[in-house]
Amino acid sequence: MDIEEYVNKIKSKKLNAVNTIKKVISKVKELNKEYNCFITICEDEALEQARLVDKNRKGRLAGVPVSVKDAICVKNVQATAGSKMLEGYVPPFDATVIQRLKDEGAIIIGKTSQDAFGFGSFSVNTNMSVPKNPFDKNRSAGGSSGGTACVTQLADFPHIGIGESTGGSISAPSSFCGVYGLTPTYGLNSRYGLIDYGNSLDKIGPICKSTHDTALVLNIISGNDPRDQTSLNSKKIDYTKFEDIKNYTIGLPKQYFQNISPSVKKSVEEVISVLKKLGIRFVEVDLKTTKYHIPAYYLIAMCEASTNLAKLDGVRYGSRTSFTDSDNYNDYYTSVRSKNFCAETKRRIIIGTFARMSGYRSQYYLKAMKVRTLIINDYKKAFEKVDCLLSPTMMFTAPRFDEIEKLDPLQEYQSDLLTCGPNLAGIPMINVPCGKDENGLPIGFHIIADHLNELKILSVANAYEEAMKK
Amino acid sequence: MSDDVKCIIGLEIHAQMKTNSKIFCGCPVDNNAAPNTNVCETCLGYPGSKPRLNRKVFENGVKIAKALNCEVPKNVFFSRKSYFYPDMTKNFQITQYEIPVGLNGFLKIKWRGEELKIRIRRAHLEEDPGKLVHVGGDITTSKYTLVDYNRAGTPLIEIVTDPDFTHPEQVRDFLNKLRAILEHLNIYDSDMIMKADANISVKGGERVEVKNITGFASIIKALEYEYNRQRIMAKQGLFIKQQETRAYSEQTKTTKPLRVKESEADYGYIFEPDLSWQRMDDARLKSIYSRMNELPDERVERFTKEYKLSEDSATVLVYTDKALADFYEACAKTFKDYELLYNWLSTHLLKCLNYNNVSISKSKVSPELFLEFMKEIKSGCLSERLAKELVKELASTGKPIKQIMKSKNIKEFSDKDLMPIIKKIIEKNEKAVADYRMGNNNSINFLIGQVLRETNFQAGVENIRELIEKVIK
Repeated sequence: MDIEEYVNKIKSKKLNAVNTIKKVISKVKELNKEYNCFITICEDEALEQARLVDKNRKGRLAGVPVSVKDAICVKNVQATAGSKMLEGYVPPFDATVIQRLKDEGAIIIGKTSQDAFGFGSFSVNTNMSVPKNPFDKNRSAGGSSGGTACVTQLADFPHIGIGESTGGSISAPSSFCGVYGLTPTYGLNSRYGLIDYGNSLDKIGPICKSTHDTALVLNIISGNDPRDQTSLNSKKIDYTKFEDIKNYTIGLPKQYFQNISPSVKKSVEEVISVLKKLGIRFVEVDLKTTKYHIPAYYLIAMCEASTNLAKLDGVRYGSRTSFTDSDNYNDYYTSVRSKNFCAETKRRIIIGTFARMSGYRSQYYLKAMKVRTLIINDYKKAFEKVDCLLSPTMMFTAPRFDEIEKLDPLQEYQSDLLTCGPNLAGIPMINVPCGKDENGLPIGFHIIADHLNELKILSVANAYEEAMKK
Repeated sequence: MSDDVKCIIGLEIHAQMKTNSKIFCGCPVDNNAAPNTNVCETCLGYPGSKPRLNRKVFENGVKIAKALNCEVPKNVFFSRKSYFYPDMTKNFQITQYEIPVGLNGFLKIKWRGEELKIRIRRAHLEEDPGKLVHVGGDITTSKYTLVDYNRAGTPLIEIVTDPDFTHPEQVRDFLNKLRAILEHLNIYDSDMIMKADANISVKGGERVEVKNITGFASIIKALEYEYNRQRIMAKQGLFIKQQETRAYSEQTKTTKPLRVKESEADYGYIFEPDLSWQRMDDARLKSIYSRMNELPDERVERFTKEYKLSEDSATVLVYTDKALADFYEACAKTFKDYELLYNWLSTHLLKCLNYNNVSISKSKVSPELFLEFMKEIKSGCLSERLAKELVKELASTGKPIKQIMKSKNIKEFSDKDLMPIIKKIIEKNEKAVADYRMGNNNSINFLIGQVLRETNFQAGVENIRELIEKVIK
């Protein structure tokens, strides 16, 4: 049952939201025991919202259960962003996207597991809970929006996931869990209420079970927000009115097909042949700046992150520690931060602080900012000739936890090779599931377009989805 | 003060900007509110909250830049300055670093008859942190410290000069001019807080930074003290050998060392990614400038033309306190003897207010009350001596002049009242009358004095003179 069908049943009183949500909550509690996809399940708040829906029977998402990445604030529900440092932080406000979902009758059922502050690709860099892959519990659900993608795949009920991407945190888990995940143009969706990772990179986006659901959610959450000054004032579009893709030209960046695992490569080649049959023309594209994507991305993201995390000092909210054994405020900060940040968080604070220190700032931070402009221009040049770009989303399928443990940080950062470029450029992309590998693990491909061309990538995704149903 | 030793002074001035709401959120700014009542998720820096730029505050920054003859860059943006301190809600301050709202300006001052140009390096906007309250003592003696975040997010303007001052007296004139500019732009009033960090050195010595001096008067006192200290040391051949940071104490009116070795703090500036760039195209600048109030220098010039005041008089009115100039203009609308008005306002009323330690804007005397008083003077019914007494009463009570006169049993001497007295005096002093008729003008003053004495010095001199002349001619 897709979302629209479900909402119609709620509206026509064929279904009752309170009963549905009760069932959903008991189901996700069960799932959570097995897969650790939630940090918080907010049963009371969800039932309260459901009662309102039953009273009003209004809204484009009346009664639809929504799982939200923990970094996105939901009023009166704990938001830890996957870190013990923020345990007990209960935001007194809704993020703008949450407000917009609630206004349409959506019901927030819980806050999902993630890498602390979004720092990771496998949702293991956390001292809260590590979500497991829905297809193999010994494997990662991907990160950092791992919990959201995991529960979206597992839900046997209409469900919307809300994730957030800085360098690939919607695409990676969507690919590993076999669901649709859209990373929008930077500024299309308000960031108000998002616990920042890298503010100039962070984007909130939907993770759903179909292209149509994804487009429907985007219709609701997108649009200018005066509370976020980086939010765009773009024309409102109905993303569910898919375009005819027959005359599209899609570029295949040659750098994005190197070092790809054979099963992923094979699967994406099959996608290309399906799309060719639908009338799409393919050309090769040369993205010369590709080798700079990872260094530029990590420098900017870590510099911004290291300033964002400074406010977490155990004074006003979140974890605290006793004052008695410390002489001064610096000792207190050190003790509370040492205890509650996990290793990867500390690593990024240290690297980010280093890269913006005077003496290094111009070599690292400022240089990365300049390179970022070159990278954007590189994509812009490509989009003069093509409507979209297509590539695998990830170079491989979900790795096992024991494999991840063996990776050093640089190897882990390398896994973002295909996702961090478009994230850095702030251009939209969607992960579309396209079959399984030899271990039965999902594979996904990416469609990427120029700024504000969400409708193009959704149209291609939908055309592929429809073609595969036949 | 002897000034045989040259010094060099550069200033960093922080002034709180007058505003209804904070620079990055809608919370009210109120220095007197109960602790932690004017706060929200944004000025508390709660995770998830975002700043949004107060447009009016930003435009006021542009106006200050213009008034200080600064260039306004084409794209203005904000930066994060990172450091940990318990009064900070985010442990970074949103400020301006690379490209502030104003660059490369200047302000001209007068010193000992000479015009000096003090270069302004930059003017930038930033947020104030919260306030630490050291309960029952100061930072070293109190048992614990409370934090009041009401102040967090109050807009500040920071103005950095080049080291162009050569004497502390010049700083007084500069600050006075700056204050008048900010007052005229309606960005600052005398209740607000002005702070400064000052670098000062004498020839042959390293520089001393006096940090965080609060208040107009203290800034000057601190610099005078520090100048004298270094000057006297220099005379004895003692020079500051190592850059030093000192603090000024309000209690002792002296400076004392904070730390000897200056370790340049590393603030790890990055661009503030939550705020968009402010594009300052010509149309936007023009629109902001068109909404700028008259600046003090322009006002001085207008006063010399409109009210025929000397430049010095106009300068006194405009630069003493904007409220004084406003007061003058309110009276001058109906009282057209501008010179007389100036004298009674700037000399007598102001002296009384200063004596009572009240500013003109806080005083009980309204322009309406003062006008009534001026009318009494103009009518010639009050002697100067009496008027000087009455203005004291007016300044301290704020009562209508008629009421004051009544309560003091002061009689208004009409012509009818004066005539019998004048006739009596003329009869008694035939010689003086004869002298006057012979052309000795001085002798009329003797007659006036006699009449005044009879009226207990309450009647107006000019009126008496007119009447005497009428009678004896």
